[in-house]
Amino acid sequence: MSESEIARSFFPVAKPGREPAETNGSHLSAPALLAVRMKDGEDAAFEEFYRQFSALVNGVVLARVPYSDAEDVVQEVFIAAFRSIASLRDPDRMAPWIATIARNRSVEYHRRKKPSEELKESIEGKRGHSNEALEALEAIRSLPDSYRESLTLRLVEGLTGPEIAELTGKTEASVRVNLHRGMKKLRAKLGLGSEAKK
Amino acid sequence: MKDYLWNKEGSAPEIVALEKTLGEFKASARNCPRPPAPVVETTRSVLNRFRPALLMPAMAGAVLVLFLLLPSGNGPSESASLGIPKSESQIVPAKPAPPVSIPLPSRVNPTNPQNVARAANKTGTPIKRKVRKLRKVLRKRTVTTPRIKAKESPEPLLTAEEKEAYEQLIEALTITSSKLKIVKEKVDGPIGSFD
Repeated sequence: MSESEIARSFFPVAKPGREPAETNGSHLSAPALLAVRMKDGEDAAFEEFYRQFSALVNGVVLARVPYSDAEDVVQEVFIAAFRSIASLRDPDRMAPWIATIARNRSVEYHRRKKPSEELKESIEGKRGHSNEALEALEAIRSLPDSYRESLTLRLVEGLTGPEIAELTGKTEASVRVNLHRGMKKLRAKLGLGSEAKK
Repeated sequence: MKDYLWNKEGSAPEIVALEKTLGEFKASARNCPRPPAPVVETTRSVLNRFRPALLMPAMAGAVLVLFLLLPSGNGPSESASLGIPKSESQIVPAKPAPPVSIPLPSRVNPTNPQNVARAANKTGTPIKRKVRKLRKVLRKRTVTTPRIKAKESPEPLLTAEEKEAYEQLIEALTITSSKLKIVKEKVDGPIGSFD
């Protein structure tokens, strides 16, 4: 059985409107092929997978987990995704799937976290990040849950609204609303522009 | 529509400054983690692999052994091991002769084979008595826990009719038991004569 035949047995149909992958005549979408390659344990596939979704995962995790621990959680998310790739039914929904894993891992992080003292700003600042940046990130993390994910993806990862909507599986309208309302609240928190005067 | 926050079109120096500040936390600054090693299934011993399969038959066997070992009142195994027939249908063809020598009670019709069979069944007394004796011994050996006196429940309130019916029932039971005792003595003979 060739690779494409195996792939078709897992993911029989490529969604209409999506570009099929250019591989030996098979009509599989690129995410489906990537999933098959990951199932086979290809290192290169894992790297590609990381490149594609690291921004999304990082944004989702940073919205919920302190920066000092975010890196570990991001790695855990990718490893968990790599191991449970077989549970992915629709490879075209790979981005929302890994975003869900990232959200769950972030919740798990808070569940298992032992009570500890926060590092002082001066010590934290020595790790190479300005206090201003840490303060801004902390302000985003203090916003309601629905706003902070969209804002981290927009301001930290530099994704546009339509990109955020596609990756998270939300509608463009809801992402737009979240971005604007979240930004308004963030301005007020950081004392920027017109919101600071109020 | 120019909306920098939405599609990066137009200008918003405030947001640009924030992007620049928060850009320090971008994922691209991080290295790709190494892919996890494939999960290797640890080898299980043959016994472990078949443990669930062996458990049920083992338990069933244990229950069967317990059932055979424990002395039960009407257990079929006990009667079978002692040679006591199980039902009347088994007895009828096997014991046509013994009733002749047995003194049947006056009320029993000797011509009726069922009556004869019943009487014959009662003649298996030596074995039965031995069984009873054995049971008594076993009962004595078993450690009995002291019985805790239950709280005396208040006597039920009965109407006059119910009381009368109750008394009649008790009387009838007393008479029946005394009659049964007489019959038993007649069938078994006087106590102590079976040896």
